[in-house]
Amino acid sequence: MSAPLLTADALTVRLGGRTIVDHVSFRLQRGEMVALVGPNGAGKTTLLRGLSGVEAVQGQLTLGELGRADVSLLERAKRVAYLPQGHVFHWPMQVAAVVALGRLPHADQFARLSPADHLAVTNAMAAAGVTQFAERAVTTLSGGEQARVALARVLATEAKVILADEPTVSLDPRHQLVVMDLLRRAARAGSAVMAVVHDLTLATRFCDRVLVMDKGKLAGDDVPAIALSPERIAAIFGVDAVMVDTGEGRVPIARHPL
Amino acid sequence: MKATGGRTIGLLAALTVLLAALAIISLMVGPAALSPRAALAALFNGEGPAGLIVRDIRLPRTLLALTIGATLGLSGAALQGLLRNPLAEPALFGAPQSAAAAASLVIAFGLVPATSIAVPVAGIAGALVSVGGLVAIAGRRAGLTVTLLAGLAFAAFAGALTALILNLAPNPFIALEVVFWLLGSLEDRSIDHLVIALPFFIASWVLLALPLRAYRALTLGEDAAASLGVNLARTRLLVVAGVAVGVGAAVAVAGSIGFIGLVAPHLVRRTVQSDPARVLLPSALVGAALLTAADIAVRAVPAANELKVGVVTALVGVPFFLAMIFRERRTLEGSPA
Repeated sequence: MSAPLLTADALTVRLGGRTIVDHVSFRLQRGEMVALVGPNGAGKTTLLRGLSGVEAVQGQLTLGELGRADVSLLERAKRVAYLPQGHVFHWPMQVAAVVALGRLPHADQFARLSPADHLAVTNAMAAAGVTQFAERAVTTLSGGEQARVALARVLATEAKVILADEPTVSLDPRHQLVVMDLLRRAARAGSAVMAVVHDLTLATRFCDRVLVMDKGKLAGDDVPAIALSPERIAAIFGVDAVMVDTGEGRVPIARHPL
Repeated sequence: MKATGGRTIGLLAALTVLLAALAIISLMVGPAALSPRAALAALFNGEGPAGLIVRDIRLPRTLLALTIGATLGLSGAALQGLLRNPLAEPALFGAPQSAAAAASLVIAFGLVPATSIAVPVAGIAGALVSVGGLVAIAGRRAGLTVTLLAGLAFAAFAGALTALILNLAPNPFIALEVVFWLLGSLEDRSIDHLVIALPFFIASWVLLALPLRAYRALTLGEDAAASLGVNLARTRLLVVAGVAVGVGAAVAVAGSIGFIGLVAPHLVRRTVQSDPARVLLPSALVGAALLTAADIAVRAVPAANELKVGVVTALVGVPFFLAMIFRERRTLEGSPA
């Protein structure tokens, strides 16, 4: 197996004197799609913010061949793309211009785009299925369409590591599947994807591996069948779950709180 | 996106022509009206009383209107980019008011002449306190409500400070001087005023143009911008310093002139498709055009006392602000930001 794209070793994030992420260690390999699950307040979002350079971290973070000491803000931004929760667009910019924001880590001081940048933007819009909106103002699109634009922006960076915070939140069932499928395709194309997912069924169906966080610590790192077994779901989430056969594999369904 | 580039270039060309026309009109208008040909002749040969009027009186005034207007338009666009809000404007944040209070403090009690370097420095310090304080209070993700309330507080405090100076003014001349800062005017400004302020204006333009990538990235919010490699602390520092230096120096030579920074970006935003980086240069040019036009208007209106240009920009700007609030009230109420 080749060297991991991201290695976190005893990663710790403290905010206002409180330890939110506590000595978390894991690896992300090329081609894999990983779900990050855990109850509210477990530190999932803070972990992603730390990995993407928004929050300062302690411990060892290695990105591919780059050690932590080598990583400037821009170098990290080229390698790690981050999709925050609840995509926001503060200005009614054109969709193509929004997607092009994903190229900012590669652009020069004046934010000018090279032909390679334009190609990446075109490819990302095609992959996310937003090419037909290219000239529209992003704020005039529906929530599902906006989610795809936000995803296209992340894909346009062509980062080796993609971190997405609840990418399916407030989307209709069809768009939830579309977004998860897009992320998995990005992984299969050679990136490593880690997404915070609250829907355990989606996590089981789309992800190769599940990291479970609880109270700031890593409480599990396994294939979905083991990490999200009814016993583990009961222990971590306090929920009674059953496994149901969909015809495409077995998935957990949460039934009621314990 | 090519279309956007073409539209922006067309807009910039049109604005340049407009500015040239306004500059010539500004040299023509005044108690002694001149034809365009006479004004330009007087500007280039400087002969006779017309030469004196155009070169010594109207030229400094015109250049100040252009540079101050550009600085205010650019400051508004930059603040709006930083705070991701089309209603951000230095005057709503108390910046010119604080600069005016600090400048009048120096003049009233510091015993320095009005063209001393101490005046713009005091103005910049005043603006720095209000804009810096405001951005610090607004913090990471404070919404518009907190930002505007903090701005209101800074403006009110600057007003109280100015009232105190008026109250304690040792003589009526100082009170008159303070009133000048409050109203804002380009009347009787000399080339000395331009010389003292221009380096600060240029510094402010450079500071505000540096975070081009950041304005654009901030469209996606602060977290996404940071993950795209934007140094948020540096961006805030550059914008706060740029606005403070520009507005402080503008107030030091021309008094408090508001709302150019609100109106100018709004007029060009649609043409640049709301791109918060592309809006900067057109906003500066529109700001220059607005202030020059306003300054022409105060000279063209027949009145016993010349109207002050700051009064005109506020009279036009505040209803404009109200109209913007009215139009966007649904978004303003609905959004947590």
